[in-house]
Amino acid sequence: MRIAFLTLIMIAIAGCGTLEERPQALYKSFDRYHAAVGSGSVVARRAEFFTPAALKGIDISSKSDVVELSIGSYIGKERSHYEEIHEDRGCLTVNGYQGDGDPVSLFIEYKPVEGKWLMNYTNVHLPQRDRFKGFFEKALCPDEAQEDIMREFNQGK
Amino acid sequence: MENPTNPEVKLTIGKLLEVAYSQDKGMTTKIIMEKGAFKLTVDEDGNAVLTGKAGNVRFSGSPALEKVGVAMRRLTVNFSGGEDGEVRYTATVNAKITSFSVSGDFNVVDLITSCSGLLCQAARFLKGRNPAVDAEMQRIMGY
Repeated sequence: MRIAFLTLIMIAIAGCGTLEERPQALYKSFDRYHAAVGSGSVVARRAEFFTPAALKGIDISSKSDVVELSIGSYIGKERSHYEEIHEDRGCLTVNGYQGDGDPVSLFIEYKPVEGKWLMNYTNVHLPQRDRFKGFFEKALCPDEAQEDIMREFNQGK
Repeated sequence: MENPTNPEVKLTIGKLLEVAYSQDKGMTTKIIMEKGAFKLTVDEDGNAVLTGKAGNVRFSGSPALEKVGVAMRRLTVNFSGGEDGEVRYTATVNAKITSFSVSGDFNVVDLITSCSGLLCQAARFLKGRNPAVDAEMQRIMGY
């Protein structure tokens, strides 16, 4: 009985860790965001997913701004994801295919805000299908992804 | 409004090259037919510049940008020209909180033969063997 009680206490303590310390913290955040995009509620719930800094210049009456809030809709069928947390930001790569089968990668920079990881800036990479050589199989923030894309381009890939 | 797609961005690039050609056909042809790197940038006011080893062409890119689909702050396209008019490109559209990276390739000759503007004339000249057409192409190329 005592062992069972101690085990429960330990599980409860582990569960009280900050979101940033949990495995796949970024992907879990993305998964909730992706579901909100799918259900059409992402605009109403945008403060749950994006940093205040990101939302500062967003006008939800602008259709093009709504497109920017909804980049999760590019992922029709997910293939893989990678994440890495640094001191002041987290980087998530989500690879997959669009509805028409074209490959797509999302590179997302997360920032910690009040114990939560929120999206701060994103990159949508749309390779041409007939030249597609494979996904980036590592966690990249948008700026890092841009460097890798240019490196591959300059190498003739 | 639909999400920006690879074909839409590619079409925008083609349209921008067409506008550049209408602005300065000799220089545009020199730049897009050259092997190696050349670059196209457009700022949020629609000011566009096509830059290559041969020089540059400045023009208004606004009419060609309506298909991009987001409030674009900057468009940068890096090109690499290869053999027989084959051109690889990687384009980045910077919006407010998102950037869109699109990569692919096209054939300059195919591009300009499939369009309806002035570039088409240049392409027909490129494919033609008529001496008068060749002379016109030479004039266009600045030789």
